[in-house]
Amino acid sequence: MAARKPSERSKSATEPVDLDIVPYMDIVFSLVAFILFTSTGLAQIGVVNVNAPRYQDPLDPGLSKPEDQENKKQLNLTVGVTYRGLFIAGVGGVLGQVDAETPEGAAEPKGPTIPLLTTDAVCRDALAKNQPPPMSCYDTDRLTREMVKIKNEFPQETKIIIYAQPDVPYEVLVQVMDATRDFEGRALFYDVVLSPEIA
Amino acid sequence: MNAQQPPAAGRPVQPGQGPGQGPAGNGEERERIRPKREGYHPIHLNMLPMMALFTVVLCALLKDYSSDPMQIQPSPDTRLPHSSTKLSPQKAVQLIISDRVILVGSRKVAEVKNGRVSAVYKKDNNKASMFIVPLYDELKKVADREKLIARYNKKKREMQFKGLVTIIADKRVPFRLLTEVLYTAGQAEYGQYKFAVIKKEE
Repeated sequence: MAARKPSERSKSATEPVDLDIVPYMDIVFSLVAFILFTSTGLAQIGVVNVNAPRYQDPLDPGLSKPEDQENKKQLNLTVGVTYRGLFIAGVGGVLGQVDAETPEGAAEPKGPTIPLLTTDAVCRDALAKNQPPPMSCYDTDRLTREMVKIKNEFPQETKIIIYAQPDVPYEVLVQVMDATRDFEGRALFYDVVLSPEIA
Repeated sequence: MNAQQPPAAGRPVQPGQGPGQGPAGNGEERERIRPKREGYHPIHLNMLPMMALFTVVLCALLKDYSSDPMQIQPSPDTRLPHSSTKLSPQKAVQLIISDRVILVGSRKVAEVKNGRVSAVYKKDNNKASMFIVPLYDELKKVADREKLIARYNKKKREMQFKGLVTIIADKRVPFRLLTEVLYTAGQAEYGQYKFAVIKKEE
Protein backbone atom coordinates (compact mmCIF):
# COMPACT_ATOMS: atom_id res chain seq x y z
CA MET A 1 0.00 0.00 0.00
CA ALA A 2 1.42 3.31 -1.06
CA ALA A 3 2.01 5.88 1.61
CA ARG A 4 -0.27 8.93 1.42
CA LYS A 5 1.01 12.39 1.12
CA PRO A 6 0.65 14.50 4.28
CA SER A 7 -1.92 16.69 2.51
CA GLU A 8 -4.08 13.66 1.71
CA ARG A 9 -3.77 12.32 5.23
CA SER A 10 -5.23 15.48 6.69
CA LYS A 11 -8.20 15.23 4.30
CA SER A 12 -8.89 11.61 5.16
CA ALA A 13 -8.85 12.41 8.90
CA THR A 14 -11.72 14.86 8.53
CA GLU A 15 -14.09 12.30 7.04
CA PRO A 16 -17.18 12.00 9.29
CA VAL A 17 -17.52 8.70 11.15
CA ASP A 18 -21.04 7.45 11.72
CA LEU A 19 -21.40 5.99 15.20
CA ASP A 20 -23.74 3.01 15.23
CA ILE A 21 -26.05 3.82 18.12
CA VAL A 22 -28.67 1.20 17.37
CA PRO A 23 -27.34 -1.39 19.91
CA TYR A 24 -27.21 1.32 22.56
CA MET A 25 -30.77 2.33 21.72
CA ASP A 26 -31.84 -1.30 22.03
CA ILE A 27 -30.35 -1.60 25.51
CA VAL A 28 -31.79 1.69 26.74
CA PHE A 29 -35.22 0.92 25.33
CA SER A 30 -35.21 -2.56 26.91
CA LEU A 31 -34.16 -1.16 30.29
CA VAL A 32 -36.84 1.55 30.24
CA ALA A 33 -39.49 -1.01 29.33
CA PHE A 34 -38.28 -3.41 32.03
CA ILE A 35 -38.30 -0.78 34.79
CA LEU A 36 -41.69 0.54 33.76
CA PHE A 37 -43.23 -2.91 33.81
CA THR A 38 -41.62 -4.15 37.00
CA SER A 39 -42.25 -1.02 39.04
CA THR A 40 -45.58 -0.78 40.85
CA GLY A 41 -46.83 1.63 38.25
CA LEU A 42 -48.35 4.95 39.03
CA ALA A 43 -49.90 3.76 42.28
CA GLN A 44 -48.03 5.25 45.23
CA ILE A 45 -47.62 2.80 48.05
CA GLY A 46 -47.86 4.13 51.60
CA VAL A 47 -48.06 2.61 55.06
CA VAL A 48 -50.26 2.95 58.12
CA ASN A 49 -48.54 2.46 61.47
CA VAL A 50 -50.15 0.09 63.93
CA ASN A 51 -48.93 -1.17 67.27
CA ALA A 52 -49.55 -4.45 68.97
CA PRO A 53 -51.36 -4.30 72.32
CA ARG A 54 -48.91 -3.85 75.18
CA TYR A 55 -49.33 -6.15 78.08
CA GLN A 56 -48.09 -5.26 81.49
CA ASP A 57 -45.97 -7.89 83.13
CA PRO A 58 -47.40 -8.46 86.64
CA LEU A 59 -44.02 -9.82 87.81
CA ASP A 60 -42.22 -6.61 86.87
CA PRO A 61 -43.88 -3.76 88.73
CA GLY A 62 -40.87 -1.52 88.07
CA LEU A 63 -42.12 -0.75 84.60
CA SER A 64 -45.44 0.59 85.76
CA LYS A 65 -45.72 3.68 87.86
CA PRO A 66 -49.20 3.88 89.36
CA GLU A 67 -48.66 7.42 90.59
CA ASP A 68 -47.85 8.54 87.05
CA GLN A 69 -50.99 6.90 85.76
CA GLU A 70 -53.03 8.66 88.40
CA ASN A 71 -51.52 12.03 87.47
CA LYS A 72 -52.13 11.49 83.79
CA LYS A 73 -55.75 10.95 82.93
CA GLN A 74 -56.08 8.05 80.56
CA LEU A 75 -58.82 8.38 77.97
CA ASN A 76 -58.51 4.86 76.51
CA LEU A 77 -60.42 5.94 73.44
CA THR A 78 -61.80 2.86 71.73
CA VAL A 79 -63.57 2.52 68.40
CA GLY A 80 -65.40 -0.70 67.70
CA VAL A 81 -66.31 -1.68 64.15
CA THR A 82 -69.33 -3.94 64.16
CA TYR A 83 -71.90 -5.16 61.66
CA ARG A 84 -74.36 -2.65 63.13
CA GLY A 85 -72.13 0.41 63.05
CA LEU A 86 -69.36 2.10 64.98
CA PHE A 87 -69.03 2.21 68.76
CA ILE A 88 -66.99 4.96 70.39
CA ALA A 89 -66.00 4.39 73.99
CA GLY A 90 -63.68 5.82 76.61
CA VAL A 91 -63.07 5.41 80.31
CA GLY A 92 -66.48 6.86 81.12
CA GLY A 93 -68.45 4.47 78.91
CA VAL A 94 -69.78 4.26 75.39
CA LEU A 95 -70.55 7.53 73.67
CA GLY A 96 -74.17 8.24 72.79
CA GLN A 97 -75.68 5.51 74.91
CA VAL A 98 -78.20 6.13 77.62
CA ASP A 99 -79.10 3.41 80.05
CA ALA A 100 -82.66 3.25 78.92
CA GLU A 101 -84.75 0.55 80.47
CA THR A 102 -87.95 -0.96 79.28
CA PRO A 103 -91.02 -0.67 81.49
CA GLU A 104 -90.49 -4.29 82.46
CA GLY A 105 -87.11 -3.39 83.89
CA ALA A 106 -84.92 -5.27 81.38
CA ALA A 107 -82.22 -3.20 79.71
CA GLU A 108 -82.67 -2.64 75.98
CA PRO A 109 -79.87 -3.76 73.67
CA LYS A 110 -77.68 -0.74 73.25
CA GLY A 111 -77.13 0.51 69.72
CA PRO A 112 -73.91 1.75 68.18
CA THR A 113 -72.74 5.35 68.56
CA ILE A 114 -72.77 5.76 64.79
CA PRO A 115 -75.26 3.39 63.15
CA LEU A 116 -74.86 2.16 59.60
CA LEU A 117 -76.08 4.34 56.77
CA THR A 118 -79.32 2.72 55.68
CA THR A 119 -79.90 4.77 52.55
CA ASP A 120 -78.58 1.92 50.43
CA ALA A 121 -80.50 -1.35 50.06
CA VAL A 122 -77.25 -3.34 50.41
CA CYS A 123 -76.63 -1.78 53.82
CA ARG A 124 -80.20 -2.45 54.98
CA ASP A 125 -79.88 -6.03 53.79
CA ALA A 126 -76.56 -6.55 55.62
CA LEU A 127 -78.02 -5.03 58.77
CA ALA A 128 -81.06 -7.29 58.63
CA LYS A 129 -78.94 -10.41 58.12
CA ASN A 130 -76.26 -9.34 60.64
CA GLN A 131 -73.55 -9.71 57.99
CA PRO A 132 -70.47 -7.54 57.42
CA PRO A 133 -71.66 -4.56 55.39
CA PRO A 134 -69.61 -2.98 52.59
CA MET A 135 -67.31 -0.06 53.30
CA SER A 136 -69.73 2.56 51.99
CA CYS A 137 -72.24 1.72 54.75
CA TYR A 138 -70.07 3.19 57.51
CA ASP A 139 -70.54 6.90 58.25
CA THR A 140 -66.86 7.81 58.55
CA ASP A 141 -67.53 11.54 58.14
CA ARG A 142 -69.53 11.50 61.35
CA LEU A 143 -66.81 9.44 63.00
CA THR A 144 -64.28 12.13 62.13
CA ARG A 145 -66.57 14.84 63.57
CA GLU A 146 -66.87 12.86 66.80
CA MET A 147 -63.08 12.44 66.92
CA VAL A 148 -62.61 16.20 66.52
CA LYS A 149 -64.98 16.81 69.46
CA ILE A 150 -63.07 14.33 71.63
CA LYS A 151 -59.74 15.79 70.56
CA ASN A 152 -60.94 19.23 71.66
CA GLU A 153 -61.60 17.79 75.11
CA PHE A 154 -58.36 15.77 75.27
CA PRO A 155 -55.80 17.64 73.16
CA GLN A 156 -52.83 15.65 74.51
CA GLU A 157 -54.32 12.26 73.72
CA THR A 158 -53.08 10.50 70.57
CA LYS A 159 -53.78 6.87 71.32
CA ILE A 160 -56.74 4.96 69.94
CA ILE A 161 -57.71 1.32 70.33
CA ILE A 162 -59.58 -0.23 67.42
CA TYR A 163 -61.37 -3.54 67.52
CA ALA A 164 -63.77 -5.22 65.14
CA GLN A 165 -66.03 -8.17 64.63
CA PRO A 166 -64.41 -11.24 63.00
CA ASP A 167 -65.58 -10.78 59.41
CA VAL A 168 -65.16 -7.03 59.10
CA PRO A 169 -63.00 -6.52 56.00
CA TYR A 170 -59.52 -5.05 56.33
CA GLU A 171 -60.39 -2.11 54.06
CA VAL A 172 -63.06 -0.95 56.54
CA LEU A 173 -60.43 -1.01 59.26
CA VAL A 174 -58.10 1.14 57.15
CA GLN A 175 -60.96 3.53 56.44
CA VAL A 176 -61.70 3.86 60.15
CA MET A 177 -58.02 4.52 60.83
CA ASP A 178 -58.07 7.23 58.14
CA ALA A 179 -61.13 8.83 59.69
CA THR A 180 -59.56 8.95 63.15
CA ARG A 181 -55.99 9.90 62.15
CA ASP A 182 -56.36 13.53 61.05
CA PHE A 183 -58.82 16.13 59.90
CA GLU A 184 -57.90 19.02 57.59
CA GLY A 185 -54.25 18.83 58.56
CA ARG A 186 -54.91 18.58 62.29
CA ALA A 187 -53.59 15.40 63.89
CA LEU A 188 -56.24 13.52 65.84
CA PHE A 189 -55.62 9.99 67.13
CA TYR A 190 -52.79 8.45 65.11
CA ASP A 191 -51.27 6.06 67.65
CA VAL A 192 -53.32 3.02 66.70
CA VAL A 193 -53.44 -0.14 68.76
CA LEU A 194 -55.36 -3.08 67.36
CA SER A 195 -57.29 -5.04 69.91
CA PRO A 196 -58.44 -8.63 69.51
CA GLU A 197 -61.84 -9.12 68.01
CA ILE A 198 -65.16 -9.12 69.73
CA ALA A 199 -67.66 -11.89 69.23
CA MET B 1 -42.54 -4.54 -18.72
CA ASN B 2 -44.80 -5.86 -21.47
CA ALA B 3 -47.06 -3.20 -23.04
CA GLN B 4 -49.80 -5.82 -23.47
CA GLN B 5 -50.27 -6.25 -19.70
CA PRO B 6 -53.64 -5.07 -18.32
CA PRO B 7 -53.56 -1.62 -16.77
CA ALA B 8 -53.61 -1.23 -13.02
CA ALA B 9 -57.06 -0.96 -11.48
CA GLY B 10 -58.34 2.61 -11.23
CA ARG B 11 -55.75 3.97 -13.55
CA PRO B 12 -57.03 3.94 -17.15
CA VAL B 13 -54.27 4.12 -19.71
CA GLN B 14 -54.69 6.92 -22.19
CA PRO B 15 -54.00 6.23 -25.82
CA GLY B 16 -50.33 6.64 -26.51
CA GLN B 17 -49.45 6.46 -22.80
CA GLY B 18 -47.72 3.20 -22.30
CA PRO B 19 -45.53 2.24 -19.44
CA GLY B 20 -42.43 4.34 -19.37
CA GLN B 21 -44.00 7.04 -21.45
CA GLY B 22 -45.13 10.48 -20.32
CA PRO B 23 -48.65 11.79 -20.88
CA ALA B 24 -47.60 13.20 -24.19
CA GLY B 25 -45.33 10.31 -24.99
CA ASN B 26 -42.53 12.81 -25.09
CA GLY B 27 -39.05 11.66 -24.09
CA GLU B 28 -38.01 15.12 -22.88
CA GLU B 29 -40.97 15.33 -20.53
CA ARG B 30 -40.08 11.94 -19.08
CA GLU B 31 -36.57 13.14 -18.34
CA ARG B 32 -37.95 16.21 -16.60
CA ILE B 33 -40.13 14.35 -14.07
CA ARG B 34 -37.63 11.61 -13.27
CA PRO B 35 -35.65 12.35 -10.11
CA LYS B 36 -32.10 13.16 -10.76
CA ARG B 37 -30.15 10.17 -9.48
CA GLU B 38 -26.93 12.05 -9.51
CA GLY B 39 -28.02 14.55 -6.87
CA TYR B 40 -29.77 12.04 -4.58
CA HIS B 41 -28.44 11.64 -1.04
CA PRO B 42 -29.92 9.22 1.53
CA ILE B 43 -31.46 11.08 4.48
CA HIS B 44 -29.92 10.10 7.80
CA LEU B 45 -32.38 10.31 10.68
CA ASN B 46 -30.75 12.11 13.57
CA MET B 47 -31.24 9.78 16.50
CA LEU B 48 -29.18 11.76 18.98
CA PRO B 49 -32.07 13.80 20.54
CA MET B 50 -34.13 10.66 21.04
CA MET B 51 -31.13 8.89 22.52
CA ALA B 52 -30.56 11.79 24.91
CA LEU B 53 -34.23 11.71 25.91
CA PHE B 54 -34.16 7.98 26.56
CA THR B 55 -30.99 8.30 28.62
CA VAL B 56 -32.60 10.97 30.81
CA VAL B 57 -35.74 8.86 31.27
CA LEU B 58 -33.61 5.83 32.13
CA CYS B 59 -31.59 7.79 34.71
CA ALA B 60 -34.78 9.12 36.35
CA LEU B 61 -36.31 5.65 36.50
CA LEU B 62 -33.14 4.08 37.87
CA LYS B 63 -32.95 6.77 40.56
CA ASP B 64 -36.56 6.09 41.57
CA TYR B 65 -35.91 2.37 41.52
CA SER B 66 -32.84 2.58 43.72
CA SER B 67 -34.04 5.24 46.18
CA ASP B 68 -37.17 3.29 47.09
CA PRO B 69 -36.13 1.48 50.29
CA MET B 70 -38.66 -1.21 49.78
CA GLN B 71 -40.25 -2.45 46.63
CA ILE B 72 -43.72 -3.57 47.56
CA GLN B 73 -44.92 -5.96 44.92
CA PRO B 74 -48.49 -7.01 45.63
CA SER B 75 -49.37 -10.23 43.86
CA PRO B 76 -52.21 -10.14 41.32
CA ASP B 77 -54.63 -11.66 43.85
CA THR B 78 -53.77 -9.05 46.50
CA ARG B 79 -55.64 -5.78 46.13
CA LEU B 80 -54.47 -3.19 48.60
CA PRO B 81 -56.93 -0.79 50.27
CA HIS B 82 -56.71 2.95 49.65
CA SER B 83 -55.70 5.31 52.43
CA SER B 84 -55.02 8.99 53.03
CA THR B 85 -51.74 8.22 54.81
CA LYS B 86 -48.66 10.25 53.95
CA LEU B 87 -46.12 7.80 55.35
CA SER B 88 -43.80 5.95 53.00
CA PRO B 89 -42.71 2.33 53.29
CA GLN B 90 -39.64 1.39 55.29
CA LYS B 91 -37.32 -1.54 55.03
CA ALA B 92 -38.98 -4.36 56.92
CA VAL B 93 -39.97 -7.99 56.69
CA GLN B 94 -42.82 -8.38 54.22
CA LEU B 95 -45.78 -10.43 55.27
CA ILE B 96 -48.34 -10.97 52.52
CA ILE B 97 -51.91 -12.05 53.24
CA SER B 98 -53.86 -12.75 50.09
CA ASP B 99 -57.20 -14.48 49.82
CA ARG B 100 -55.36 -17.76 49.07
CA VAL B 101 -52.03 -17.82 50.93
CA ILE B 102 -49.88 -16.26 53.64
CA LEU B 103 -46.33 -15.50 52.57
CA VAL B 104 -43.26 -14.33 54.46
CA GLY B 105 -41.23 -12.57 51.79
CA SER B 106 -41.71 -14.95 48.90
CA ARG B 107 -42.01 -18.09 51.01
CA LYS B 108 -45.45 -19.63 51.39
CA VAL B 109 -46.26 -20.57 54.97
CA ALA B 110 -49.99 -21.28 55.07
CA GLU B 111 -53.01 -21.56 52.87
CA VAL B 112 -56.11 -19.44 53.28
CA LYS B 113 -59.57 -20.61 52.36
CA ASN B 114 -62.68 -18.45 52.69
CA GLY B 115 -60.76 -15.95 54.78
CA ARG B 116 -59.68 -18.56 57.34
CA VAL B 117 -56.49 -20.51 57.98
CA SER B 118 -57.07 -24.24 58.23
CA ALA B 119 -56.84 -25.87 61.66
CA VAL B 120 -53.86 -27.97 60.52
CA TYR B 121 -51.70 -24.83 60.57
CA LYS B 122 -52.89 -23.81 64.04
CA LYS B 123 -51.40 -24.69 67.39
CA ASP B 124 -52.63 -28.12 68.61
CA ASN B 125 -54.75 -28.29 65.43
CA ASN B 126 -57.20 -26.10 67.28
CA LYS B 127 -59.39 -24.07 64.93
CA ALA B 128 -60.02 -21.40 67.57
CA SER B 129 -56.31 -20.84 68.22
CA MET B 130 -54.78 -17.51 67.21
CA PHE B 131 -51.34 -19.06 66.73
CA ILE B 132 -50.31 -20.06 63.18
CA VAL B 133 -47.37 -22.44 63.69
CA PRO B 134 -45.60 -22.33 60.26
CA LEU B 135 -45.88 -18.54 60.22
CA TYR B 136 -44.28 -18.34 63.65
CA ASP B 137 -41.47 -20.72 62.62
CA GLU B 138 -40.65 -18.71 59.52
CA LEU B 139 -40.81 -15.34 61.29
CA LYS B 140 -38.68 -16.66 64.14
CA LYS B 141 -36.09 -17.81 61.59
CA VAL B 142 -36.08 -14.38 59.95
CA ALA B 143 -35.89 -12.64 63.34
CA ASP B 144 -32.92 -14.79 64.41
CA ARG B 145 -31.14 -13.96 61.17
CA GLU B 146 -31.83 -10.23 61.60
CA LYS B 147 -30.55 -10.36 65.18
CA LEU B 148 -27.38 -12.13 64.08
CA ILE B 149 -26.76 -9.42 61.47
CA ALA B 150 -27.46 -6.75 64.10
CA ARG B 151 -24.99 -8.34 66.52
CA TYR B 152 -22.15 -7.92 64.02
CA ASN B 153 -23.24 -4.39 63.10
CA LYS B 154 -23.77 -2.82 66.49
CA LYS B 155 -22.67 0.63 65.35
CA LYS B 156 -25.12 0.78 62.44
CA ARG B 157 -28.49 1.89 63.71
CA GLU B 158 -30.36 0.98 60.57
CA MET B 159 -29.24 -2.63 60.87
CA GLN B 160 -30.53 -3.17 64.39
CA PHE B 161 -33.47 -5.45 64.98
CA LYS B 162 -36.60 -3.36 65.48
CA GLY B 163 -39.31 -5.97 65.15
CA LEU B 164 -40.81 -4.18 62.19
CA VAL B 165 -43.06 -6.00 59.76
CA THR B 166 -44.94 -4.71 56.72
CA ILE B 167 -48.34 -6.30 56.26
CA ILE B 168 -49.37 -6.44 52.61
CA ALA B 169 -52.93 -7.65 52.93
CA ASP B 170 -55.79 -7.93 50.51
CA LYS B 171 -58.56 -5.48 51.31
CA ARG B 172 -61.11 -8.28 51.72
CA VAL B 173 -59.11 -10.08 54.42
CA PRO B 174 -61.33 -10.45 57.50
CA PHE B 175 -60.31 -8.94 60.82
CA ARG B 176 -60.05 -12.35 62.46
CA LEU B 177 -57.34 -13.53 60.03
CA LEU B 178 -55.51 -10.23 60.39
CA THR B 179 -55.44 -10.50 64.18
CA GLU B 180 -54.25 -14.11 63.99
CA VAL B 181 -51.33 -13.06 61.79
CA LEU B 182 -50.52 -10.06 64.02
CA TYR B 183 -50.74 -12.17 67.17
CA THR B 184 -48.37 -14.79 65.70
CA ALA B 185 -45.97 -12.06 64.51
CA GLY B 186 -46.05 -10.61 68.01
CA GLN B 187 -45.04 -13.99 69.44
CA ALA B 188 -42.06 -13.99 67.05
CA GLU B 189 -40.96 -10.61 68.50
CA TYR B 190 -42.41 -8.51 65.69
CA GLY B 191 -44.44 -5.87 67.51
CA GLN B 192 -44.52 -2.95 65.08
CA TYR B 193 -46.75 -3.28 62.06
CA LYS B 194 -46.97 -1.21 58.95
CA PHE B 195 -50.01 -1.82 56.79
CA ALA B 196 -49.21 -1.33 53.11
CA VAL B 197 -51.86 0.73 51.36
CA ILE B 198 -52.28 2.65 48.14
CA LYS B 199 -52.03 6.35 48.77
CA LYS B 200 -55.09 8.32 47.75
CA GLU B 201 -54.51 11.20 45.37
CA GLU B 202 -54.57 14.57 47.10
